[in-house]
Order: sequence, then C-alpha cells, then structure tokens
Amino acid sequence: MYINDFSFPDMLYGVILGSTIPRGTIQEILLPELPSQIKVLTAKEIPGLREFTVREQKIPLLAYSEIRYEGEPILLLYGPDEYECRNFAEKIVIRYESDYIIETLEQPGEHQIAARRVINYGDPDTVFSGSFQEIEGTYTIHPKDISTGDAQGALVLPRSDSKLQVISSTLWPAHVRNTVALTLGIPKKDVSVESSAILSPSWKKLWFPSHLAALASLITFHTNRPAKIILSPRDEQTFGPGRSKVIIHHRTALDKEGGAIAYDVDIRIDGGAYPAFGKELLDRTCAAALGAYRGENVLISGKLIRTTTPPKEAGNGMGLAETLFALETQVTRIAELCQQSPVQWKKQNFQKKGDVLPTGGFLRERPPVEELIDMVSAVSDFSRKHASYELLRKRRPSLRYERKLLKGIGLSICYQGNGFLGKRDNELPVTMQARLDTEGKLSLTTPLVVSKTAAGWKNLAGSILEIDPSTIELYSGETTGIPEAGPSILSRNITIGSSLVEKCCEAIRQRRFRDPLPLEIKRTFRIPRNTHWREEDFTGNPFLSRSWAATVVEVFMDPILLDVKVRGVWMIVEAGKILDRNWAVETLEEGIYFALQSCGAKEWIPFANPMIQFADSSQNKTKGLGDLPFIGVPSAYVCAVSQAAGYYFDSIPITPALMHRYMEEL
Amino acid sequence: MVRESSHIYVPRNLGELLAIRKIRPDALLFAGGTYILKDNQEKVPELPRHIIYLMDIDELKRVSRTERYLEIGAAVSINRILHVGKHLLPRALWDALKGIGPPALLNQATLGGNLCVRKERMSAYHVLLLMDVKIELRRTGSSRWIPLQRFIDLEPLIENGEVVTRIRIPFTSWDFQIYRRLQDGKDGLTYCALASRQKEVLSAFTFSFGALGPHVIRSREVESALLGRKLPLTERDKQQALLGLRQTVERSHRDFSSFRKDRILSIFSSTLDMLIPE
Amino acid sequence: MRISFHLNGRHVSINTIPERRLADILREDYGLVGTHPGCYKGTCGFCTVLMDGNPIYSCLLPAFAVREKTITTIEGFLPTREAQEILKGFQEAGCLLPEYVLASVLFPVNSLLETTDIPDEEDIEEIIRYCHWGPSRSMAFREGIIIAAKFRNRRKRRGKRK
Repeated sequence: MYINDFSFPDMLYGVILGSTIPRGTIQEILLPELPSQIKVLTAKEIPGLREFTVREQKIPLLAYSEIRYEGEPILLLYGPDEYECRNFAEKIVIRYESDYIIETLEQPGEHQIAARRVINYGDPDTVFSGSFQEIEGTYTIHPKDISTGDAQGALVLPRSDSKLQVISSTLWPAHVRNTVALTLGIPKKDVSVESSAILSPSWKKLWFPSHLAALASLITFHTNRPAKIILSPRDEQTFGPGRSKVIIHHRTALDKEGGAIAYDVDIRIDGGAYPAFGKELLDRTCAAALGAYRGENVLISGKLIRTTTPPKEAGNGMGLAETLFALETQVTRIAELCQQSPVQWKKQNFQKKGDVLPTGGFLRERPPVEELIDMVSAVSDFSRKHASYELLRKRRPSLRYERKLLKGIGLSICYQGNGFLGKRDNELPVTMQARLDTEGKLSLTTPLVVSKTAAGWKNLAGSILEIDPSTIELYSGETTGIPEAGPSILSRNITIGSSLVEKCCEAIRQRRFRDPLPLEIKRTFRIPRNTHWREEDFTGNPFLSRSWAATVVEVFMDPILLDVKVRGVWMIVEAGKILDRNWAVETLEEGIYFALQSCGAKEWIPFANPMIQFADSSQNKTKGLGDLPFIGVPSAYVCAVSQAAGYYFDSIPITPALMHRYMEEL
Repeated sequence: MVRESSHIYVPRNLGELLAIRKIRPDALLFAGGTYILKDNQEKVPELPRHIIYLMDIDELKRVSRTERYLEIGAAVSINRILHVGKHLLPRALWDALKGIGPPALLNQATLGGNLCVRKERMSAYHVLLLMDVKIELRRTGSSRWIPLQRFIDLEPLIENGEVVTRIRIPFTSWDFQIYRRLQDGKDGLTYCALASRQKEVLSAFTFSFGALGPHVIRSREVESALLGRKLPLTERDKQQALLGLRQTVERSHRDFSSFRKDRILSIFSSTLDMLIPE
Repeated sequence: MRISFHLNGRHVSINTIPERRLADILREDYGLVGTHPGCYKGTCGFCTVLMDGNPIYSCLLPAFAVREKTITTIEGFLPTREAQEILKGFQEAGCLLPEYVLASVLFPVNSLLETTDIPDEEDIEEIIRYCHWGPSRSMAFREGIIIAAKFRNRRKRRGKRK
C-alpha cells in the first residue's frame, strides 16, 4: 500500500503552515477562534530536540523564531477533518520582522559559504601561464522538478505497549526512527518504522519523509491518536525539498595539438537554507570533476553556498550529473575549436591504467571508455553524422533565414560513482536472511527498502535455485528486526542487495539436498574497509566502483519554432554483471526519459526509442546503473542541440526562449 | 465550517435552465468543469456561491450537420466532436481540439467551456474565430446568433439571463490550414492561419495569434493587402506583410518579450513561404 | 448535498459537500484507494475512472457532477476480462505495472482497444505521451499494448465464430 492509502479509525490529520517570507523572525502568531476539535502545535510543543539532523546538518522541525526560507514550516494544525484544518490554516496570520538581504548563488557573501573543497595537483599555475591556448566556459544546471506521482507523507499509530508505529514513504527507515525518537525525546526502541510502497525511489524520499514522520508523531505524542500528514501537490511545491542549482566554471589549458595539459574548475552549489547532504554533494562533484580524463595539473575548488531557498535533496547522479555535464560539454567544445572530432579528442585524453587521479589514488583498472565509445559510435553512426551535420552548420548562412530542419548529434562518456564518499553510511553492514521452508518456498528478508529491485532479486534467486520467481516472498524494511542498513539509494540495492541474494541462494543451493528443510541462511555484506579512499584528507580512489556509459543523442530542430525533437538515443553501458536484462533496460529507458525532460526536451519522434546495449564485462560483480542516464544524457543532448543551432549552449534545461536569447546576444 | 458550500442548480431541460438563469444571473455555468477545477488546486476547490450544472440538459448535448454547417451544443464533449470524423472536421479545428489534452480530459471538456473561459483564450478559440463561427445566445423568450468575435468583445460578455446554447461552424472550403500550439509557459503561443487559393492567386487569407492571457493578435490590413496576390508571394509582398504585422505587434503588444515578438514574426514568415500555388 | 450514483455495479448514495472531488470521495468514503489523485489538475492520470463507460479524471469532477452517473473504478474494472487481457499483454511483454499506475494505463489502453483492432504507432504514441509513469517510454510498454490487442482480437474472433 502507498502512504496515502492507509487509514485508521479515530485518525487525526495534520496540516503544515509555512512561512510566507524568505528571511526574518516571527513576531506574532494570530490565531482565529478555533473549534474545539482543531488544535495548533508550535516549536514550543516539541518535547525533545527541536532540530533533526541529516548528516551533519541540523534542520528545525518547526521554526522557533528565525525564518531562513520561504515555506519553512512554522505551525502544525490537526483535527479530524483535513479539509477543515486547511480552511482554518488559511485564516491564521503570522507577523514577521524582516529586513533580509537576498542571498544568491551567483554573488555569495563569505558568510554564505557552508563548506569548501579544494583539490590541487601538479602545478596548474605554471602550466596555464605557458600554455598554447586556454578555453573557458561557465555551465549552469537549473534544477527542474520532475514529479514521480506518489504522495509524500507519514502516518503514526500509538501502540498498546506505549510505543509508536510509524509508516513512512521513506527509503531510509533508520533515519525516520532516529528523527522521531530524538524530537520526541523517547528511546529509539520505542519507535518502529514501516516503509510504505513507493512508486519511484527518488531522492525526495531520502530524508524529507523523516521530517513529516516527526511532525505526525508530534500529533500522536500529544493526543495518543493515529495521525496522518499527506502533502498535497501544492504543499510539495512549498515544503518539498528542491534540487540544487549548480554553476561550474571550466578553464582548460591546451598544448599545440589541442591536448589538455591543465584544468581549473570552480564549482558553486546551492545548498539552500539547510544544506542536507550538501557536503557529500560537494565532495562528489569535486572528486569527479575530471571524469574519465587524465589530469596532471589540476585545480578544483568547490563551494557549498547557503541561500534562502528550501533545503535540498541530492538528485539523481548526486553531483556527478552536474559535474560531468559541465566537463563533457567543455571537452566537446574544445574538440570542435581544435577542429577534431569529439571521439578522437576524447580518446587521446582518457585516463589509462596506472594514471594518478587528482585525489592521489592510482587507477587500478583501465576504464572501458575506448570500447564504449567505439561501440556507441558504431551503432549510432556518430562519426559520419557528426561530420555531415557539422558541414551543414558551417554552410548555413543564418539561422534566421533557415527553413530546413536543423540536425545535431552529441556524444558523452560518463561514469556513475557507486557508494557514498562519507564513511558513515558505507560502513553500516547490510544483512540478508533467506529461508527455504519444508514446501520448498523461498523467502528473503532484508532491511533495505525494496521497490523496483524486487523483481530483479526474485529472478536472480529463482535462477540460482531453479524455482518459480513468482513464488518467492520478499520482506523488507525496518520492521524485519534486522539492524539498520543505511539509505536504499545510490544503487545500494543493486550493488549490495543483489550480491547478498546471490550469496544466500548459493549457500542454500549447496545445502538443500544435504541438510533437512527448512534451511535458514544469513549473510552480511561488509563494505571493505580502506577501499583506497581516505575521507579525512580526501585522497585515494573516491568511489567503491564505477559503472560506465557512452551516450549519443541525436536531435532535429525546427528553425522557426526553435523546438527540439529527439530523434534517437543510444547508450552502451558497462555495469558489471547484469542480473536481469529486462529490468536493467527498463530502468535505463525510464532514466533517459526523465533525463531528457530535465534538459527541456518535450518531444520524441515515435519509435525513435533509446537503443541500449551492454558491453561485455570481465567483472563478475554487479554495479549500479540507474543514475547513468541522468549523468550521460544531458551533455550529449546539449552538444547535439548546440550543433543543430550553431550556438554553444552551456546550461540545462534548454528552452526556445533561451535559444533565442543566445541568438540575440551573438 | 469556515466556508459555505455552493448551491447547485441542476436543470433538466433548456426551459428550466433559462428560468434559473433569469433569477440567478450571477451563477457560474458549469459544464465539463475541467478549466475551473484545474485552475483551483485546493483539495476541495473553492467555487462560487451559485452554480448551474449544464450536463443534464439534452438540448445542449446535440450535434447536427447540414450541407453548409456543423452545429454543436454548448455542452457536447470535445471527444464527441472529434467522433464526427477527421475527414469532416476542418483540419485546423481537428488539430486544435486534439491538442487540448489527453482523451480522458476530452471526455469531460466541452466546446462551450472552451469558448467561455474569460481569463485566457483557449485552444479552439483562434480556429473558430477565423472560421466565422456563430454563437447562439438564448434567454427566456428570445434567442440570437452572434459572430464569435462579437461574443468575445461584448462587455459584459452576455446579457442578464443569457446562456450560450449552440455553436455553428460553417463548412468553408479552406485549402490551406495551419494550427500550432506552443506550450512554453509564459512564452506560449497559439497560432492559426487559413487560406484559399484559386489557381495562382490567394483568394482568401486570415490568421490569428493568441498569447498567454486574453491577447489576440490579428491584422485585417495585412490580410487584405495579401488578397488577390499572385502565388508564390514575391519577396516584396512578404516583407510588406511582415512589416504590417510587426507594426501591429509593436503597437498593441509593446510589453511582449523580444523572443515572443520574433517568434510571431518567424512563424508568420514561414506561413507566407508555404503559400504556393495549388 | 445527497448524491446517488452507480459505483462498480452498486447503487450508492452519499451526503457530502458538493464541491468535493470524486477522486477523494472514492478514496475517503468508499476505500477505493486504487484511484490516486496525484496532481489535482488532470495531468498525471493516476485518478482515471470510467464515467458512463468513458475514461475521465476523477480529480477534475466535483461530487455534484456525479449524480446518477455510472462510475467504474480500477477495483471494479480489474476483474473484467478486458482488464485481464491487458494485464496479460503487459506481463508477456515483460512490463510489470505497479498498482499505483493501473488506472492511468488500463483505462486509456482499454479505450484504444475498444475502437482499434490493430493499434498503430500514432495510437500508441498518444497513450505514451499522456502517461506519466516513466517506464511507459520503454519498448516493453509498447509491446504490452500490441500483445494486449492480439488477446483482445483473438477473443473477439472467437465470439464471432460462436
């Protein structure tokens, strides 16, 4: 059941009232005359901690006095009728004192900087001063909110044993439990958390559901009745965490042959008023700033900036989508300015086995980039199309008088960095329990929150034990009694979960005809310590593993309406062992769809479907792949549109209005 | 309760509707209601105090066809109009109706509703405007047919007690029809152009642009200057027509962004390029 | 306001605020939680129901507009052989439909199969264009519609032979 589908007798509904100003202090709250069944809670009624913590960031449950963003929750109304509560919420007047200065990402003050990261390797200053030429570009990623459909919310039930039962649309039940316990000031053992069904495992469901669960728990704490908070679509726009805007400035020094000899990358990330996961986002963005390219003289400096916007979710690709969009767009531009094909330039500048990363680690394996680029070029006919569209572009007199369809094609190479850089979540062991009962029925139990991976796991278990996957039972989440496992995000279900399914089922297979049934197997996955990464001094190999993709996007553009149609998407993926091909393809196709939407693409030519292939992998382990489209598609799309229009675009999403602005400016 | 509920009138026939409308001229006429509810995203939408629900009145749900025109009841769903057939409906009208939204929305939305929205001009408006559509307004004891243009220009829209009952679309044989709807948020545009050609001569030409809100951009001067011109149009004809449109836009829509102005001109310019002999 | 209507084959009557959205009434008063109002503006389609046999968005329909109408929700539609044919089609194509999206997929596909024997690219594209579930862009989803059409046609032919 989805979170909004639960209902209990005697249930109370909570409605959040948020701030109408972005910065200031609360002076006075004027309540209308309320009927006896409607009550109001403020920060003063929070019995435990008034703030909850996401990583190191503290966020107020309800604003006490200071307001730091528009929409910040101030009051919680509750009553037996949600409609009535919403009506009364509209009648409440809050007076503020406010003389704030607008805090932006573009021109941040020193006090706005929440965190910094600098990677300095080699001698970039000297190399830049003696370089043949420098190429600069500023790339902006404007977040575009894409709704997944299912509601955000929480439901809390008082139990007869004076404990609280929380149902939440969360991917991180342990965080919900901690947040509820700490804000109510009760022991963690008195809170149990159940995850509701989730339509799409988006980042919105990472830490934000904990906030809602803590608010709903507050109602139950004060009334001892079931309480439910569901955000309406409008509420989600007001309170729901948004994605970070990111601005990345690239300066690349080139030698006479056009090869990159030094990189200078400046990264600015909007962390919102409370940068939850902001440090991880900053670190990943900086660590991956050079993507698959060799860098011997590098300066990467990143800043996490506080602004008066709502707290941020991390977003698919978590930092890599932003940083590799900027990098791939920059290197494609370099190739074109050097009169080289992007394929040729990229191949000459790729990392090789044994190269030293800007973070100091040695590259232990050769990235499969050359194979991927060759494969994707072959299936999409990239080189021929790119050359011929380039010729068309150069021969065209002016876009203003063009009546024929404009064509463009772009190529990107990217990787998905699996695992968190921060140690804490990586070090939590994940346990899975498998049981084969006397009738030969298999059940799997895991604390990971399972949504889309369920079918893949069942197929994997079914194929190992040669049983019908549809007969396999899967129990997941916090209530299984298995210790917490960290958030089910960043492909942890695929990388860790799948390996556990495999280990458990292999063990059962070996014992099932030797030992009597029922058989119970428990396996724990401990992420290897010291995986060549030292978080303290930010050195080594930052990611547990990397999955790779080469992406080509081809577009047609109407010269009059400046409308872009996606003609085709080709993607070659190397993600280790693929457990379930259908599931993997479906995940990538869905990702491509959302990624194109976030770039501003609205139309697809019918049946110009993404064409996805998997490269042979020598590796026997499974790696995540769900974020690859979000990382690889944007720069391929922007490069394709740039070629079609004949202007270098450097931000997403691209809209016809933006194209027009570029055309006017140039 | 803080808010009082609306009072709903549900007339069963036209007579009842007109009688109620007479005593409740301020009531909201509610047919499919898609625009009204879309515009109101509260869990329980806030609606006017008095509402007259039109969908139970058979007279408003009829479609009839003669040799010269198609007559559509104000409460006929868009999907039912589409069922008249792609080959019978003018191409631009078909595109406009189809483009309103998904089939489930078209089962609810009505043509009357599409024309009566005041805040903005909806998709079908521009096509119907150019097709010289007439609207039947009725009240107790009287009825009148007025051109769509006048219906829109009338302030107040309709007189006390009047109701839109039918829409009459003449079957004029336009041999060139274009309809475009560009949904780009505040820069969105709707465009329709219709033309007739006799051999190498442009015998009829009309166009209309709609921008967000109630803006309508037309130019009778440009239209009439092009009439009788030989096709394809000469470069001079085209430039003069473009200049005429540019002046119209600058005169009455100075506040439009340069993007929107340019887009209007380039769409129009491409239409002029497309006007070639049959 | 008292409103009577036919719901999944049953005649029902409810006393409610006339402006309430049908989607909320179905969920909150009749426990039919397969109807999901995801946007309240007729975009997501997760609240689709049949009204007098035609798909409509129940989030855009106020209670007073439901009087004496026949409403079929996804719960009422699922047991029918039409629904089962479509589900089987998607299953064979390897496209698993989560419960949340059933109403937004099954009703439009059923409408299409009622009017078309062999859906063409344009028909399928129209379903996908308005479907707000990410995996509807997959090949498997398209194949699901085509296979469902085959099941439907096979049954129609058998019916004719009898």
